[in-house]
Amino acid sequence: MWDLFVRALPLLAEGIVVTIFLGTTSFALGSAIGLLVALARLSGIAPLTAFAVAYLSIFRGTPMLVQILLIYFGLPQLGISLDPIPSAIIALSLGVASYQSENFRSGILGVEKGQREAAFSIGMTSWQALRRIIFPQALRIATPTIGNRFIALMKDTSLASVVTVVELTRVAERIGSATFRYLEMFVIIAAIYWGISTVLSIGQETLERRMARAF
Amino acid sequence: MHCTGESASPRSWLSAALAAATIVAAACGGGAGPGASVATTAPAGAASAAPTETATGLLAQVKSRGVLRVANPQTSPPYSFRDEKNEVVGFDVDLANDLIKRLGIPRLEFIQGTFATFIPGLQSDKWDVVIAGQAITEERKLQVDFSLPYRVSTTTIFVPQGNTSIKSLDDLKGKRIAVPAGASDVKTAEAVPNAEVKTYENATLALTDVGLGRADAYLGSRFVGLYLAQKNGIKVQPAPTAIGLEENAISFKKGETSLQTAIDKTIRAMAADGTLTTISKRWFGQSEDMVSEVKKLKVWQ
Repeated sequence: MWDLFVRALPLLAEGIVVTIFLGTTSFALGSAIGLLVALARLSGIAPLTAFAVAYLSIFRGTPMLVQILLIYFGLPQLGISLDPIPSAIIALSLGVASYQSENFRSGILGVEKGQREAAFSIGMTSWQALRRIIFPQALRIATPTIGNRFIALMKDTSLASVVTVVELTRVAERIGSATFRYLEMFVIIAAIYWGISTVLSIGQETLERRMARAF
Repeated sequence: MHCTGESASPRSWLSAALAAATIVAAACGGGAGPGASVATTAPAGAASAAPTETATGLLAQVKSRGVLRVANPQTSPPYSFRDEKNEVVGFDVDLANDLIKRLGIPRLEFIQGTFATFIPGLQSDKWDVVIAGQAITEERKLQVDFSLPYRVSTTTIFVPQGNTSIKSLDDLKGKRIAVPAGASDVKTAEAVPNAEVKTYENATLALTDVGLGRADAYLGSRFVGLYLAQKNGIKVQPAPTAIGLEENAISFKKGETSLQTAIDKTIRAMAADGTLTTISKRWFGQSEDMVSEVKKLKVWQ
């Protein structure tokens, strides 16, 4: 297997870069969208809440693979033709945003009611209260679930392979079919995915420990 | 994804039950346990041509099991695809049906695979044969054995409609080439200098991307390309000159000589009595005379 690994290394390296790029970009975009959706849901303004509920229902209720296929192969029929990597990033971001919105919402709801009342009582506006008092605490509460979602997304990037993005999984499939050594190639990339996830989970633990300190 | 050759009608349940009963009977009576290369005769109720010679190996196993497990893509019209009734149909399906009749195997089971999984599936016994028009290549011959070629296809470059600048492989330098993942054309595409090779789950998706301008050219069978472009309204056209001729055959695990001999004999018989021509004309149209092309191949002499 070592000879195969060495031979595949240049392509694997490119695949790792693409995988990490897809994962981090989609996570950043998806988190931003997710936060907006969570705020819309909690806004108490009926149309915004309805939008947030519908968004969650659609994007959490359909497989990410289907979303990717729809965006890459479906949208061109409406005249919108996107390249593979943008298609994958849009699909992964929209998908992960649905989960992130729920993570943020549960974090925000998890902050004690008294905190908000106290913020108002010293004359803060709603925005100030949210930004200075509620949100820092909500983020601490939500960190474990947000971290889990990041790790899950890193693995979901493999779905981009179906729209011709050459990421880790597609690299393995290509080398596997050229050499007929599928099993070994997939063992190799399984180990790489595991490595990436392990680094992320160590990061998550460190972050949680830091956050557990007093304010 | 598994499916049987027939739809889930009461009749197919009955025949499945009968087949199961035959297997049980054979196991109790003959003691042909798994792996035992005991010669078995075709179960009662099998088609007319019950072979008399002693069969061993995979062929014997298939016969005592009563089912030939065939892998095909089921997304590859007109070779194997799902019709409006969700039944698997096509050139390769007709061939498989005729094959089991002649070999005296009662039932077919179609298992969906892709060009990337066909060979690993044979090696890990997920299926007995692949009837998907795989091209015979030197690399594949190291991994599996092939039957006599039963069809041929002309490999052609497909370009977006109106494109006249791409005529040969040389014109594809530095271009984006679309091919189905695992197809033998991937290698041809990868040999083009500086080309970006894009791989897809199936030929339709690859051609669609060329039509949309997200890839510059598609490599594959001329007939399949024309058929798919017409059926799906994809705006592509074949470049004028062909780039190669592919010989397509049935593949199976290495060293299964009895199976290979039986299948080769059957293919010759199908060609001799006109069955292969009938199947070919049914799917390719009256004007295409593919069978005479097949018969011209050196291995057929």
